[in-house]
Amino acid sequence: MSMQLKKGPSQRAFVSTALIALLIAVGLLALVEKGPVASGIPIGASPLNPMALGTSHLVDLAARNYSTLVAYSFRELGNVDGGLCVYFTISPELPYTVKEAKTVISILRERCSKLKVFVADESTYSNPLLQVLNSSIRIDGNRIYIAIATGVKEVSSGLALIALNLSSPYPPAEIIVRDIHRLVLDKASSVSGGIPTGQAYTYSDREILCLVNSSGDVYRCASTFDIASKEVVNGVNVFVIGDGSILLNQVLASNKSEYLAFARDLLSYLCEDSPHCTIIFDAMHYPSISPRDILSNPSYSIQKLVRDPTTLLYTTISILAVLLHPSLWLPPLILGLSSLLTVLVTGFVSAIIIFIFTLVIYRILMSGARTSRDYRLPEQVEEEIGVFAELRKTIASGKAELSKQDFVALCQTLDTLLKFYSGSGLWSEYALNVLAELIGDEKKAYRELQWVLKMYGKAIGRGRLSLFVSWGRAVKRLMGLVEEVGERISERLGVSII
Amino acid sequence: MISPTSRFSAYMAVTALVISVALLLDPGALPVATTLLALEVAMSFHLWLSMGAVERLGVEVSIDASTDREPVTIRIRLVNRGFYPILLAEYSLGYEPILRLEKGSKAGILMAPSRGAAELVFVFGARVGIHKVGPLTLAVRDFLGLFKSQPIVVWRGSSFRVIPSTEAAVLKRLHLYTRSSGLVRSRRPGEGIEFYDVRDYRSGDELRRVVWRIYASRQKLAVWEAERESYQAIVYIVNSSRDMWTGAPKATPIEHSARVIASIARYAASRGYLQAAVIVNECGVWVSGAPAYGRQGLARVLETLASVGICMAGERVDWSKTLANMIPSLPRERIFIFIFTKTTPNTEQLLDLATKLSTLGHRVYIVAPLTATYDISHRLPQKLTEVYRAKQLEVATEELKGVELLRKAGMKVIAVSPQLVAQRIVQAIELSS
Repeated sequence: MSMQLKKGPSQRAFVSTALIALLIAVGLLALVEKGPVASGIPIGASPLNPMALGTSHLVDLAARNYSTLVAYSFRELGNVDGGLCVYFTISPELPYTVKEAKTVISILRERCSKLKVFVADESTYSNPLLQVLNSSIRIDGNRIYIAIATGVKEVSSGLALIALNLSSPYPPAEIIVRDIHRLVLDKASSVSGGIPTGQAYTYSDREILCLVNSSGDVYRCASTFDIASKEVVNGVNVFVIGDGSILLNQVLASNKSEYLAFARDLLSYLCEDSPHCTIIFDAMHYPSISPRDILSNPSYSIQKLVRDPTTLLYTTISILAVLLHPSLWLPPLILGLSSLLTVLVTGFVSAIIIFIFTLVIYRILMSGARTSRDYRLPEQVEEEIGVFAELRKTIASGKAELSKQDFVALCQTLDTLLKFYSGSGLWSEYALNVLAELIGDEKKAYRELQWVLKMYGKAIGRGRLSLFVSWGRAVKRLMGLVEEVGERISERLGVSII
Repeated sequence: MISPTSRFSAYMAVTALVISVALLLDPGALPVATTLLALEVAMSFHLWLSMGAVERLGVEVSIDASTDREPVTIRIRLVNRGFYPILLAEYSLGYEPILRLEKGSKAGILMAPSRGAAELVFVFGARVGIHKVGPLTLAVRDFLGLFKSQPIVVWRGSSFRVIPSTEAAVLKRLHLYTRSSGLVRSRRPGEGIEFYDVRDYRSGDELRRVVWRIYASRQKLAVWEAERESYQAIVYIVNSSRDMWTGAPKATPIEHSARVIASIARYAASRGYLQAAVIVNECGVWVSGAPAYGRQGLARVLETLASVGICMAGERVDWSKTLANMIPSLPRERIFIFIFTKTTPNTEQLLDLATKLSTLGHRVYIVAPLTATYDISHRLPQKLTEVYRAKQLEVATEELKGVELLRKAGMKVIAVSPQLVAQRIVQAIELSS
């Protein structure tokens, strides 16, 4: 059994190459105009960051039940159109300015009938937002540590200074949303003001919680500290937690289900279980690393971005997406080409040098590379085989024409048919009778027989008349006769012959 | 093996130019040059990983083929066992040129995710006989088309068999015809169960055959006689040479002959006849074995017909080999032999075979489908149709001459229209009983 694989027949394209090139050029320009897919790779607790330290999982979780919007500019905030809106800001990496906070709140007040603001932050970057809302709640910006008293350090003026050993920045805490959630915080800050709804505490009586300021000094110790508060100010519900890490991707994706339960309860509580709730995630206060930064300072970027294989893959794909986008390479390319053209036009010698240099580099780059044309894989051709396959190809190619040889062959066909029916052939004395019997018209049979015999004589070179013969027409006429005879025979014998 | 494409040359020329500009003119072009080089390395690395994934592909194939009524469905599941996805693989499926793909695409692009699978489904129009599908070839490219892998055969292919369906209309016509014409009766007394006649008692007749009613009325012993059951042995010889595949798919002489034989074989099996089949083509001869009774015989015949294949090698059918191969399987008693074949090109050899078989005492019939009657769809422009018809008639003439030659030599040739073939064969068998 042999297989036949052939290259498919070449076909004329409906769309010309020039048009395709033009469309590609237009597309590239449009892409450049639209700007890059993302200004860079988001870092920190950005809702656009799908890596371990991002909060994209929280966005996905919220999107299952509520409308969500990731606001990476004020323009997105203008698209909010809802009854109840909840504005989320989680561990911003860039501080809010009062002006920004005012803008955010004024837009949201305008677009939403009811507004809630949720802040989960261990820094003071979000305080301007709370300030604009006239909230009494503030994030202190300190760090809560678990400490163990190791003894009395010094006694003077009736005061005993106790020596402390700061053991861990991961204190347990209870936060009340609807249910009480027991979570472990990560470098959390205490909050002040409002109605406390969450407290950090210690694991045992031997331990104590201490607040450490930004310079690393312990300035206050107690058995508990408030880490979450809420209040209603001018109709705006404010909910603040002094730790954003409990909502990060790495926490929500971990096998500890209490964080996921907390996130669900929080979303449900803030949205009041209403399907018309819109949750707006702030993405404006996070920096992003552009591919240019990565290329110019790879060690810094790798240190910042690459933490695990998933992050590496994501980073690579993000970089590739940005690198491949025409907005990055098309303008420099056009500029380069333009300057090259200038050089070529203005300085012939330098153009020659560049050309030679290019040639050398090209030879170096291509050393050992053997290129080949990129053909597509051969496709299976479906073919008919058999007696008439080749004949059909010849006729379809237009090479076959009707000639006197065909006339002779058809005469033999008629002869065979007549013999098949009666035993007497075309050139026998009974031919006329047989033909007349089959056709049913003696005069016509006589006329046709005379014509066939005369033309046969001409075809084989015995006769001279007629002088001018169109063999194509003659063959077609004879073919009509042969087919008529064939049909009559099949009617009489039940034999389908032609 | 990965090889760079001609696009790679152009790409590297541009890269070389940017590098030269960066080195000689404007250092600001260096990031672009670095990016271009990095991209080339990334594409090469990606293709290398994709190649690894393709080489470790698991292939699971299921072929669903039964009779020529139902289409043949082939499912090829390509399982990517690796962690790296196959993102841009071009595939092409090879198969016999006479098969017609009805659903699915014989070539295209596929993706197989990591630890996932891609499934290709091909639906072919079923044609009688054994057919080969495969190989399935894959070639991998990178996203920019800078590199391309050599074609990799991931599945070498497989064969499937399609048995001919019986034509219910033909079977019904056969039963009606034989019943109405009384052909199935042997009209001779002997062993059987059908009543034949009543005759006088002879010594040795079984007592249970005595007709006591006659004895009671006439005081004379008479016995009833059964009609001798007639049975025949039939061997079908089928020429499956390339010329027998002429015409539209499923309506070629070979496929029509196979369906006719299947219908007759089913009818003959119901009558308990002995049956066998022989397939002949340019590549050789296949014999089903000695004729077998009833359903076993039918199974053998259908199985042999399902082995009909196209031979793309060889010039002509060698009829002399046919005789040598089938002689050991033929019973000594007279059998019916039906040779389904074109009468040309080697009519003399065919005549020789038929003559030798007749000499052995067998009844030989040559069933000659005229190929011109099967070639109904030529898909030619109207202006070329007449030229084609004229040339076609020349071929038909040759075949008719072959029929004529065989008839003159005393052979029985059934050269009737396709609808009447089955009826004529049954008539031949039953009338000779």
